[in-house]
Amino acid sequence: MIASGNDYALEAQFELRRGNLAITANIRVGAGEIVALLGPNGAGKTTLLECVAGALAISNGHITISGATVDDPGAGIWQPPENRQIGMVFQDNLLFPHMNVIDNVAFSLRCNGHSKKSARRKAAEVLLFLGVAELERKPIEELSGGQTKQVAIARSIIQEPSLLLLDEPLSGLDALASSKLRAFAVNNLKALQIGCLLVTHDSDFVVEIADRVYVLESGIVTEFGQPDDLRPKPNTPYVADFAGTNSYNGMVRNGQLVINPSFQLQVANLSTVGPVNVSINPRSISLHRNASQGSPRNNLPVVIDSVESLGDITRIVTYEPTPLVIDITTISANELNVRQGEHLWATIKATEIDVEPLAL
Amino acid sequence: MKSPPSVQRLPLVVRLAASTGALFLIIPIVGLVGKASWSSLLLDLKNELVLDALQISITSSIAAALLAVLFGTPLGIAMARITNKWSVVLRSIVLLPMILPPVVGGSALLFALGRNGIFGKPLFQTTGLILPYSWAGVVIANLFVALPFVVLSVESGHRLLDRRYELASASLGAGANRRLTSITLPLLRPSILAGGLLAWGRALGEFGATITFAGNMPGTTQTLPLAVYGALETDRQLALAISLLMVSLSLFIVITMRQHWWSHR
Repeated sequence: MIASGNDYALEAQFELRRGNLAITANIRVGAGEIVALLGPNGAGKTTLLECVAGALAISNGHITISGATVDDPGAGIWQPPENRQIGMVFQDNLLFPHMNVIDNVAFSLRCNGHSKKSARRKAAEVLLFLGVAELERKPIEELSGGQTKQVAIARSIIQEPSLLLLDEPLSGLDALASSKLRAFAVNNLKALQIGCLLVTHDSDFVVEIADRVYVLESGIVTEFGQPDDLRPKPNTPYVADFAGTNSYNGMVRNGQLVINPSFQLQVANLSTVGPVNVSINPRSISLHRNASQGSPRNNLPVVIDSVESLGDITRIVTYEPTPLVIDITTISANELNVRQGEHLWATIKATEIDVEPLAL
Repeated sequence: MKSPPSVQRLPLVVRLAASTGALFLIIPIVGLVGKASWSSLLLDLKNELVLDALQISITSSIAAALLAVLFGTPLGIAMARITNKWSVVLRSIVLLPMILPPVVGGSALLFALGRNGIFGKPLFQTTGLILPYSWAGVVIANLFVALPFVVLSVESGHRLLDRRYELASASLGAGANRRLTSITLPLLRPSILAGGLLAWGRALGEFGATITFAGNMPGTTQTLPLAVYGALETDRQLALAISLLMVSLSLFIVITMRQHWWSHR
């Protein structure tokens, strides 16, 4: 998937120091490749996008978009945002409130000297291509959250930029709008073959759409690899949380694994002592209405925090005695009829708990 | 049955103070309206002196308001963006005419733009133009006191504006000029309108700077406020009639402002 040489949609290797924020990034997006950028809140993901867009100047290094270097303080190169071959979809969309949908979408063509008529015709074609032709005549304030995002995407891709920056495109949407927009983005962005750098918190979206994943933590960007690599072996608590893996820090004492006083586990073949990292596959936890008998089993009383259907699998998050992410089949979830706020029992087989000594 | 006290109900002290404040503003207008002899009102106003003053007031105040928008909008935008040490100096200079007694402003204009003034003298020598005691002088006096209203309105409007709209338009290929004309100015429209209307209202009521810099010559530089002042000495009935005319003009501006500005907030 990764193109070679000058065919990168984005090639960025830079440092940014701004106040007490420092970002070190080494990111590549191939032509037509969709790359997700993950990271906890406040890690500087939006700031990184703003560097690429040209809202901020980097401290050193370089940013090259589709073969053209747009920022390189060492070489004295700086191109303002309007000279960069990018489209940007902002977290809060920033559709121009004084224009209707079609004029928002047509805006970049108008900037490039198209007549009002031809710009509007092209904008109508793009809306039609994206499957949202019915929005054309609507005033901005009448759009729903999902429609606003669709128009923002239409506006940013109309000139077919070589690089599209998307900042949290699913944020602020309810579950239905979010899943609709996910389908919209997956279908259209894949078809358009525009290189995308995508910031999101939605792991399913990443798995569905992204070719590669980077993680930004503590200001440092590290390549993570394929989205599928995220789930089985999370190497930081953020990634674990993101991918829905249970990851805890615990202590092994007297053959017992203690995560906190009310969360202790029986583990098979416990060979280590002292501080450990514990990970539990969400699929190896089961849920029951009553405490089950027999050993060696871990029975934990839990309170259901959320229930989310992911298709065949239903993801259940609990918050007592400690947060657990549990993936059970949707069939058994329906049988159990799990509801938020209910008190149930979670069972974890002693053989399914992975314990790694923490390197000191 | 007694209805439960509303959460919004204010303490008695607050209500009393609020009523006093409102009364204080209403009483003078009531006095004005109550004293008017409505039967002769139109006849009083159909007087050459009044019609001249009305024409000068309207034309000069509108000209001043338009000039204030023309120069005040860029100044307001610039002030919202300047972050260096000069912004404090600039802001003080812009605010000064709002605090300064208008008579002092008029004198300052006279010393600067009068026939022997620092700028007025070379202006007269090169072009033969004399600004004081002319219709243009009325406009300049009006502009001096009205300009800050546009500047402040546009500046505060610009500060409330989401600057990222400009980044959004830049990422779509809009250069500085197009960002200004297609994004910033349209988004600032309510602030510019409000500032222009405030400037118009201020220019319409201008007295001190006008009489000092442009004089009080009926038919040339005498505006409605100057005519009221003159009439108070000679013909109280006429003064009353002109005052009522000014109340209606000001009311018109206030209502226009409400429609254009506050209804959008």
